[in-house]
Amino acid sequence: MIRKFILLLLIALPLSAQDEAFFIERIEVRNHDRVSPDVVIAESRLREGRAYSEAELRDASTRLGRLPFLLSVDFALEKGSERGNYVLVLTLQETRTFFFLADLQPHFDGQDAESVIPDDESRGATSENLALGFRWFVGRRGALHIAFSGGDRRREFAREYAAFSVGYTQYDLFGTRAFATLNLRKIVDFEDTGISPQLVVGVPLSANQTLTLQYDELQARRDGLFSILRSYDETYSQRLISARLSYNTTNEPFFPTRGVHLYGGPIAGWTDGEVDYRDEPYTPYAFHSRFYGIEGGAARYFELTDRDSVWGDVRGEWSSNERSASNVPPDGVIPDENVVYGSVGIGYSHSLWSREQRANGDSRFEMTARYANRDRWIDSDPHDAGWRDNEVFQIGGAWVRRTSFGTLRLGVGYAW
Amino acid sequence: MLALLLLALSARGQQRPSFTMNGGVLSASLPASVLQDASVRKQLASGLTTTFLLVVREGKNLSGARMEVRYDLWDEVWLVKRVEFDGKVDRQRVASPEALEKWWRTPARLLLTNADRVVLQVDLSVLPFSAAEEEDARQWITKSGGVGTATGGGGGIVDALIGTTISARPITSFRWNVDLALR
Repeated sequence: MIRKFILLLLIALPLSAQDEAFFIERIEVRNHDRVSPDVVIAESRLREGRAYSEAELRDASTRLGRLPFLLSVDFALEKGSERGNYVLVLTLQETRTFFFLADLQPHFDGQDAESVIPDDESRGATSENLALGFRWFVGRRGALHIAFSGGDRRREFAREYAAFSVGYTQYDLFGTRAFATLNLRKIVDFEDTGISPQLVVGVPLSANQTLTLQYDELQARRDGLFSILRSYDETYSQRLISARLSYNTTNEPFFPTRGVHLYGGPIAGWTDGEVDYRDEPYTPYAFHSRFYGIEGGAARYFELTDRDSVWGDVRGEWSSNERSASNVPPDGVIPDENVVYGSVGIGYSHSLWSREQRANGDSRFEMTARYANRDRWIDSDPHDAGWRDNEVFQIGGAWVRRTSFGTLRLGVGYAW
Repeated sequence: MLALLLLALSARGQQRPSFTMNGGVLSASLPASVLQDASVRKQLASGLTTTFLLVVREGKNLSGARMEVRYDLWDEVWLVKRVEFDGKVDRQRVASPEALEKWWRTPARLLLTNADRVVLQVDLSVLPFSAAEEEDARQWITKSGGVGTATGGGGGIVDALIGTTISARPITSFRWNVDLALR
């Protein structure tokens, strides 16, 4: 059997001698309408005047395939200006100016399952449940967008809100192939809120590795809130800093069918707030928390056949929250917390479209299953200290449709 | 030398591989219609390598062959390579489409067998770009050392090879089910 394995390996693996490099004197982007050719070239991480092997061109092709504003890219060589030189031709299939990502898969739960599994983990690749807006490329390396994004994604100890945002992305930052996005967000959930900035900087370390740094700030005030027969006003501020190193060879940005995605990194945050009761005898109090943690995950996607794909993933997170208050609030003490979270998921998807049709998108049916465990340690509450263990099984089915406008997932699930 | 031209029993109107038996080795000649497929022709004209991965399943036994074709834009020749089931490598430069088709139809040695009759599932995947570089392969072998000892799942080995070392999505694929009487 081992001999057979070695022979199969010889068949499936190439001999490196034939993997010659091509000197690319020029990169030409064709069939572009809305997308800037300079952005495509920058995101490919290829540069004119350098030689690349086919493996490097393949990695660039895969990287471009993950861009949300491209449906597909074909690579081809043409003769250059002199013998041995080549023109690399990238032929695009673009998405539209209007874009959306709608991941709508409610889970019916037999117990308090929804509080265990964050919404974005129901499959494995998305990070938002709803986003829609318009994107315009401006200048040679810039893109402007206006969008609405849902705030359902839950992160330990941090609040997420639905928001309208205006943003600008600068690609090929200082000629380094890095990009930076500045979002100015108006939080929908608060009546009296300023502009909350968000800065994301991505530094591609290779065609498959990216270091992403993110800073989020939220300043808001809500008046006239009501809780257990008490009326109060709340001011709230939150700052989040995170870094993530990812290795990604998947083929699509949101619902891939092939490749590997590994990621991990730290997160830290601070929140401050004040609660001011309108009625006696409650006294106002201020609260502060400082939290930090580390998260990581791995996902692997396999294409079994032309239409069928399976995947599996594992995720983990540890986070700690140190909280304090100026005095004891009416609801009791504010304990420190530690949370350890882990989950394992598997899935299967089947494309309803032929390979030829999929040049313009995809239509898939998928089934998923996940087990998650969340252990929460409350260590400064004298009345209720200790671990609280909560585990959940979740299954679901959904229809996923990718078009030139965006990606939609409609489904339903059950958790117990 | 025993050479038999064997026909698939379940012809469905499309061109299919033909099989020959020589010294206990089963070989397959692939139909020229594969090269005529529009998506394959487009990739062959790209100046980049087109990889044809042929996987043969006979019950629990697995075998196969791999062909690579690249049109050299400057020399205007086809650079072709064939790796057969026993690791034998054949490289050639062919100067015309006719010569390419002749090379393509040359039987590829697939399987060693002494059976009187074999039922085969033949899968041909057409992949853009050459297969991964040797270093990638070495890393894959290192990372998946357990796979080599997973003797119960031969299909997993081939699927893993296709899915990991050759990470480009197939341009197209073909499948033929054949029942061959060898004697």
